[in-house]
Amino acid sequence: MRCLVVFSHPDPESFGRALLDETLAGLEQGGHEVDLLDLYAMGFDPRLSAHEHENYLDIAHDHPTLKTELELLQQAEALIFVYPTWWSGLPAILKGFIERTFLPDVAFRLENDAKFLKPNLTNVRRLIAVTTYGSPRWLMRGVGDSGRRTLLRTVRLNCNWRCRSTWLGLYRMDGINNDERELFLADVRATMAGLS
Amino acid sequence: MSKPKKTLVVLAHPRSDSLIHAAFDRVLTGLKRAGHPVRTIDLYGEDFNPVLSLEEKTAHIDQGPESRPDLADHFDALLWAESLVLVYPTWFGGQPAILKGWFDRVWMNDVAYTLPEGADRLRGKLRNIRRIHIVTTHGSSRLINAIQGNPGRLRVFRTLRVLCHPLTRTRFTALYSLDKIDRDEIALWLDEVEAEFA
Repeated sequence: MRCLVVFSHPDPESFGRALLDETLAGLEQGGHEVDLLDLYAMGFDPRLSAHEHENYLDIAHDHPTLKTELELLQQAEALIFVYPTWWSGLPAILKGFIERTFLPDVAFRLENDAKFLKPNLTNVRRLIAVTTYGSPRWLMRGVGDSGRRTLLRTVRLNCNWRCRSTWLGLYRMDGINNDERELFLADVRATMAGLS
Repeated sequence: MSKPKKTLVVLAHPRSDSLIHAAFDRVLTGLKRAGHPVRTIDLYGEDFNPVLSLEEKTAHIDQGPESRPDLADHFDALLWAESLVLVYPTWFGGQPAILKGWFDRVWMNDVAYTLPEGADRLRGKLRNIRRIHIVTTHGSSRLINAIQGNPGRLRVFRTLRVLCHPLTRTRFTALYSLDKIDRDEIALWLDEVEAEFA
């Protein structure tokens, strides 16, 4: 599969980085084709500008700065997000990536008199998130896990209607031991290698 | 009329001709009418950078606000407020990145919470805040937002609220199906927004 990996972590030596490495290793093992967007390394600006807002409906046809990113989105068969969960959700840099690239005629279509937006990323058949939490799983369930809703519902609505999703979350990051972390890394690699 | 409450209003929209800016103005009009002391933060207006840096990430646990003098005004405003008002468009179910990044960067150790030695969970520190009010617009319908699960609303009313006073009250003033409704409905909503705060 052609996989677009979107990575958001400021620390090149973090556990988050190890998760990316396992993701990439697993995908390679599975013989998948990979495109990587490392948002922090790119210095990605997550703020949707006034210009982008004013020209929202057709800016995707000739985007001044994000042509490559839009192309990658339209080519991907699998979308993979690797990031730490902050305040129950995506880091601002990743939230902004979605806001700026999931545009009309790329991610969805607006049709006159249609009741709902039409999904346009019909190329995307797999959606995977790999994330770490400071909080335990029960607490995340209790507060509604906003980040999970953002990706598996809001973003998912733009993909192929048969798109399958997988959530790989490591909870209570700072309260677990090394074995548990290793287990999670192995799980990430195996999931990526077996992607279909 | 209720007792005056120190109110911090945070605005997140790139365009000054937007409906959200109009709503922001009406919030201020209402608050003024009711005599509440007000401070405002216009995130786009001040070119706020929402990206938590490596340096900040590293300082997240063991340093406090003194490590970020560039954010001093934000900390000060957050610790001053008794009432917090967030005015933003809902994009992809939640707050625009610039506002999400304001949470990521400003709601930091020793401002919004403490993490005492040995504790495994954060202790909220914003006991000054007793009311959180969201004013927001949605392009999509109420139904679609329900399907998406309102992640933005949950983040503020569940995750962030826990850091505030235990009796913090919340309120959500929202407009849906923005592209399908007419001017009258919008005008009506703006009146409602003003009345909420007056």
